[in-house]
Amino acid sequence: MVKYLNLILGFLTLILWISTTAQEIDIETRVEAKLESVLILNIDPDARIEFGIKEVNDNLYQVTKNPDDVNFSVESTGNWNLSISATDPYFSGINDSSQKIPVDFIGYYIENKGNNWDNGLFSNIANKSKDTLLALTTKETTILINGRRNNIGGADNNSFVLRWKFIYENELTKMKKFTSFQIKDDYYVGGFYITLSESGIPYK
Amino acid sequence: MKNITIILGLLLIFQTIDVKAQATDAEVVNFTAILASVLNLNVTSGDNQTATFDTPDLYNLGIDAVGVTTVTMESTSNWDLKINAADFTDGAAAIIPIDNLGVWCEATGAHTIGTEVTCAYTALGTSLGVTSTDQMLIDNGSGNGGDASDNAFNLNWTMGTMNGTMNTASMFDQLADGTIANLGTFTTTVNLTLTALP
Repeated sequence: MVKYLNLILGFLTLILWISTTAQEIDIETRVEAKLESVLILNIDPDARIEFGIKEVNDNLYQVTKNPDDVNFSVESTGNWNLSISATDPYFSGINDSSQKIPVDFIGYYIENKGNNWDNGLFSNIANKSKDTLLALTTKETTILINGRRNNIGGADNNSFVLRWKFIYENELTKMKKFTSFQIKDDYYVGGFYITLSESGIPYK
Repeated sequence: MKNITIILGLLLIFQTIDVKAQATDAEVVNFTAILASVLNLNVTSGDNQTATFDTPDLYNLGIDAVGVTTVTMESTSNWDLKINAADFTDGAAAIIPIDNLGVWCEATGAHTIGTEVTCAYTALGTSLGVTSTDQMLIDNGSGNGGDASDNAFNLNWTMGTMNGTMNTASMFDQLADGTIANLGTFTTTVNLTLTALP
């Protein structure tokens, strides 16, 4: 009888030892992450195109003020496109608003400053104005579109400078138009739209 | 008949002898105190956490303070606390790598970090990036057995902040490179394992 009791006590001790050494408790915590859509254009809302011209002699003009460059950036959780258009077909004189110059008097290009490359459709961004001066027009023109590597990212990735140039500076033929406008001395101003939209091309 | 009388006589004699020898009596009451091992882990608040990314800054820099889970431990022996979780999933194929989730600890009970307990992750900047395999979060120091008033801790959650051993890429970068394939709601379950030390 004593022998059996010792045996049972031995088993109980063994079970107690095993349960003590392997004692664990698990508790679960649920964590949820919501990734919501973001599409933001960061730009000075007062940005506009303003330049000054003065006739110094017959058909000889001096540019008294160049249009300011416009810095902007895009922050987006999806692929995006960007287009530019003029708000009006003419620049108007600030001192004499009856003075008009067609908007294609000014051209522009977008210089990439971000980490997303703008080397074409096989990179992050296809930049239509890369190495090309585009004439400003009231027609919405898509300039930047996402490439195969996609253009998702923050301001570090998608940072740009919009630079304005007088068309005549690049094309000699425009000089004739320039002279034919009979521009009066004034500062001229015009507005432009930058339209940012989600891309319909999910390249991922 | 004669034999029966003799037997009865003998039985009477034995009974008489036995009664005469009973001078004292004693009984024993046995008391057994069983100190069984106790090990309890309680989540007292914050067992559901939500991190919402809805601005560029949050995608770029992460969310410093997602929330706090408060836990207490009751243990008759020394213990340690380990942590693991699977990648976040949207229920389809997309995932968020789990090391985007970070955690750091504060002791709010009598047992303090650096004495009774040890923890290498005591500030946002040194957050532990959670992984799918167990990692030590809080360990025994000079002896951490005790009740809930001794062992009370805040587990501070952070996400996408690239601190400590967390994922070094921003949420934006991971969206851009396709690591996170799409937007939406992702979930995971974090497992906290309390183990009694032998």
